[in-house]
Amino acid sequence: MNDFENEVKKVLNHRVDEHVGPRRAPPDFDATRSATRRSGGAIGSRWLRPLLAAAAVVAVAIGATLVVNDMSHTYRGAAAVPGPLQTATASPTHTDTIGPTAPASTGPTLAATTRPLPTATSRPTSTVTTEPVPTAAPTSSARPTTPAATPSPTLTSGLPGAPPCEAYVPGLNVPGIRPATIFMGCATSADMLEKISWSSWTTTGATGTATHGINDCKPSCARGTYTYFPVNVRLSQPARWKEMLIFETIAITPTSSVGRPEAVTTHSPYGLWGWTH
Amino acid sequence: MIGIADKTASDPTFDELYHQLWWPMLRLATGLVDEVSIAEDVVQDAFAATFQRWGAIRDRQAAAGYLRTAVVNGSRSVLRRRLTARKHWHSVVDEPVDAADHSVLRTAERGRVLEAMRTLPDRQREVLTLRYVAELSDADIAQATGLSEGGVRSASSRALAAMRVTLGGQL
Repeated sequence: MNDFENEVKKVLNHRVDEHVGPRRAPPDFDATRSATRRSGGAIGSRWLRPLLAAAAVVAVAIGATLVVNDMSHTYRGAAAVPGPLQTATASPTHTDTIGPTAPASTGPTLAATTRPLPTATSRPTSTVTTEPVPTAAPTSSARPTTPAATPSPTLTSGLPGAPPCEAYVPGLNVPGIRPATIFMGCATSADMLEKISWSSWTTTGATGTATHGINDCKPSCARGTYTYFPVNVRLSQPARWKEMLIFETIAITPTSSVGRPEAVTTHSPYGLWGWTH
Repeated sequence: MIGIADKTASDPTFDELYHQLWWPMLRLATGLVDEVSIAEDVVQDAFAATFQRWGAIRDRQAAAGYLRTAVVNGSRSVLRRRLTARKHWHSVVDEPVDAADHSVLRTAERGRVLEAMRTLPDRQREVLTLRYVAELSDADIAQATGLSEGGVRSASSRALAAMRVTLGGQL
């Protein structure tokens, strides 16, 4: 080993020593740790707990920011939606008059005049029944009921925040709306939706198209081969998780002969999927 | 702690392996992912995977190699996730930042070497880390990375040559 290699070795080891500090005994071995993490169950890592706590705080803060933005911006696909948290806390009776499918006369004036995406009357009548979007404008002031199947506290409206996925990289799990990418495996990229284009984004659901990428993980995920195919995406079942509003169910339908349909519903705070924007 | 029956008296128990190799594996993983908290997770996952397959590992003297490969693969996954996340998220990433006292202690040469190291492809950085931090032989590096021994030597020499060029004889 020449001088140059010696110097490189010394620098690398110094860098590692800086990070790890003096030698210490290993922590107690938890044989169940890895299995629970991979299954999306309880988080066993002593490092992830503070990370998740921090991520939750950040998520709440950004959720609050979204509320403020809600009040001052018109969302392309859900213009008639007042701020979700504001709606939920300000006046319970207000829920009768909100939502993108509510009659224009009962929604905010600005939203009623600027919303560019499909209105209640133009929405396809083949909408899945779990998504309570009416196929025609209501004739009375009563709003359509909320999803009966929603397992979490009932919501009548809500732009989503994001379930706090495991924070593999600190600071990256940022909640957002209309995500361009959705990781089906909690921030792993072995099963992910890319280039999502939302054609509809309402308080009760969202639809769009995307490219579904699946890694065959052979011989390992690091060396695996991705298969890409076009799909339709649908988010549904709005629900509340802590201070955030989320869509609990994602359904993917291939639009070509390639690919596989998937439907994932999560009620866990450590959701099976997260999103970014 | 974990009680696992051994095949022969000379074979290491899982407990022994864990206590013996946790620290070097942590140093290796830290060298690969450059963040000790994530490195600890990688190492624990590697040990958990080894534990689950402990009964099927015929040559337990070779368990260290199995474990090392698991650490390398786990680190690659972390780096891939990090790369993917950075590609898709537009938020600010927490880059490792040296504390003030570190920057005082760090010499200009060290900084330049580390910068030159960061410009290398992942596989070359991996080989250098396995060689100089874990102090493995070419054969062991080949086993851990899935490269051939010739590939290891090639990656190593290319990495060093590239660093020499980057450093421009400043070292």
